[in-house]
Amino acid sequence: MKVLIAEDDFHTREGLADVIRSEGYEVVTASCGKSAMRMFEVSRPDCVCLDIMMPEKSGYEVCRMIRQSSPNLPILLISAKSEEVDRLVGFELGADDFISKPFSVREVVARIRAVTRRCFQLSVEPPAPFQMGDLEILPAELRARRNGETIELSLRDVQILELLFRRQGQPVDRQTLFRHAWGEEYLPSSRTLDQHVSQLRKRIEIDPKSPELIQTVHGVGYRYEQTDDEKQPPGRA
Amino acid sequence: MTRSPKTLLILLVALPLLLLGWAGLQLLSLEDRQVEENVRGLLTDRLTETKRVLAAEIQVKASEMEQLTSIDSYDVDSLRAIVRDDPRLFQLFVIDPNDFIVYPDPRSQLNQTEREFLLNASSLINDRLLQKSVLETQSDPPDTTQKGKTTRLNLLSAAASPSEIIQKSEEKQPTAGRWFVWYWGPGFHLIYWQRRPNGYLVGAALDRSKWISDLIAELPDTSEAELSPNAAPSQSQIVESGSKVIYKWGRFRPTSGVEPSAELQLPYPLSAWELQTFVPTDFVTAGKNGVYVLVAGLILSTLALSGLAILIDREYGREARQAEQRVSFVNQVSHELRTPLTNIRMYAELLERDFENADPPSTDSNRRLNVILNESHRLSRLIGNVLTFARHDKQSLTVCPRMIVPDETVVEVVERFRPVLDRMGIETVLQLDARKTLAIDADLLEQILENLISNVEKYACDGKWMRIETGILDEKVLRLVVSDRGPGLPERESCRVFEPFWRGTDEISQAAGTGIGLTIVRSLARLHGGDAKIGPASSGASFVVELRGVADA
Repeated sequence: MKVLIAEDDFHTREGLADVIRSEGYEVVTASCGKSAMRMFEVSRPDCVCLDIMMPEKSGYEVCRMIRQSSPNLPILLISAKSEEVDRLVGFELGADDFISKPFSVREVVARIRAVTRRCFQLSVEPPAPFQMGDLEILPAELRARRNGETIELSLRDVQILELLFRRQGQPVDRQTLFRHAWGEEYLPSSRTLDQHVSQLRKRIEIDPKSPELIQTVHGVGYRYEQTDDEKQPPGRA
Repeated sequence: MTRSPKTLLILLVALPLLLLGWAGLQLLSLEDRQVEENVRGLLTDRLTETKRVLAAEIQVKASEMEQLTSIDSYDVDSLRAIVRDDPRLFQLFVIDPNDFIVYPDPRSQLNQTEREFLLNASSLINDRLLQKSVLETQSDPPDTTQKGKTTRLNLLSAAASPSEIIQKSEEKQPTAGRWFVWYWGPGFHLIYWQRRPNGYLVGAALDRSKWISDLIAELPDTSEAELSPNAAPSQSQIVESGSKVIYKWGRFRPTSGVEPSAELQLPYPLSAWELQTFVPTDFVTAGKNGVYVLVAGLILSTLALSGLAILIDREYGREARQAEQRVSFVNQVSHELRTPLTNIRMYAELLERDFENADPPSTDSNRRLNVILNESHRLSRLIGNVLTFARHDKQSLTVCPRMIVPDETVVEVVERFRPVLDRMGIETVLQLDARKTLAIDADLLEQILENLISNVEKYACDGKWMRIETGILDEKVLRLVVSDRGPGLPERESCRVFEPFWRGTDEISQAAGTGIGLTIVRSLARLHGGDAKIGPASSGASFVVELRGVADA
């Protein structure tokens, strides 16, 4: 999934890009209204985050123009103005959500995930749920479920788990996993992937110290091995 | 400036002016009436004086005639001589006790005046009954010889006679009682009569031109009075039988058909005469200048008041503009502050995330990072409060309720404060019982709770203890109680803590803060259909906030 971020403040733009990228999205950026429109036409993103007060063209204007051609594209407005009237104008112009500055990283993440869930619901072929051990992964909801307990997942988490599940039984090397989940050829450092997997394990493994779902294959990468008592049920059916 | 103070100002200017104008007009018309009354009174006084002069002159004439008619020998020649020699007389006449006319005897040779007299006065003299009754009853003399002859004259029968009789019975003076008025020729004639002791009745018809000119000669000279600048030019006149002008005097010439300014009836025997006076109408109704003065005064007052109103309006408008500028400046600055704040917060959070992933977690770096994060939270709360306060001032605060579980929001906020509370050693007790979904504005609830907790942090950290209770009343009211064991609130001041910029006692005011936190708590609670109050507390302070939500059915 591709997200366009249009924001005139450099640090805010880069920070936001980092946050969203770390969630597993591809990010394109623009620093003014005009370049936002250009980037939108060139890269055709799946979601747009717009700052309202931008040079050249305001976020409102960009929002209105995008809405004309793409009625279903999720648009998030980000602004330091948070009065009701500002929100109302934004919603009037077709924005889906509104984030007011200063925002917390967690808030942005929650909203991006919410937008992604809506996108999956709207898409023709939402990704199907699958079972890893006692954990049921719901990719379209960016969630996993175990014994009625819900675990929030990022898009990247889902992508990693999906690849491991598809190649169950086989080790998946770091490069492949990285290319799949980060969408980039070059692996900056092995730690990025390892750290992510370690974080993911903390959330989905019953005992992160001795992981069962994501096992380390030393020198190669990771592997998901179906345990015997689970071999029977859904996979074959 | 809104419309209503402008309307108020206009009313403030218009109402007194209208009242002033109305009162002025009332006063003017009152004055007009008074002036008119005074002028009329003055004129009537003048006429009364004229009337007095004329009556006195008639009195003089009466005594002259009394003397003249005191004749006891009725020799024709001597009587003719008297008539001839006295210019005042038109004719004498004598009637014997048997009511036969002795002089001028119609059977004898008559001269011209005698003939004319008899011709015009024959019905008066020949008709004995008439003569008796008319002369004696009408004059009503104190004569004892005329007993039993007091039948009142029937005016109708008198009017039926060939000559026209007009006589008035009013204002009989005892000495002038023997006048008789008889009409012929150009107008009425005066006849004086007396009954002599020998039973003869002697009468004298006065020469009309002579007595009229005598009377006119007695009229007061007004020319001198009229020369004084303040006096009004006037015209007075004597009118006979309502229309015929006998004589008029004075400088002023009234237009015809104008009603006299004053008029007065003269007493008998001149009762057919009327005195009239005319003065210019603008002299009687002298209030015209008053209207100009009033209008000028009103215009001046209008100008003065309008000027004042415009001045007030401009002053007020400038103040309002300045206040607006201040608010918009604060708004602008607060918004501008948000961008760097966003970056500080975001990067600190990203850094925090990196540290979490670091294999050997560095405690020092974590602590420092926490300071940055907490301070950025505090700064954003501060900016949020300033903006909320400004919005409340502009009355542009609104509630956007969402279905939330209040306890979740409360826990979230407390977690955000956790590092600060831990550092200060404040023990936090949560008694949460609002697990139902309620339609409540989460941002607003957050802001309220943040303000209450930072209140504890600022003023009651010595108590080292804080309790947050939640509960739902009547299915849809969220009740939030934050208590502490700090110094508490002074009893007297407890009602003032919600006032903006109230900073409590001296030692408390040493603490940091803007002094609007509790004000915002109360405003927001009220905005949400609830209220914020001070709760009962054995030690420390306790704040109770209620928010009215819509229960999730």
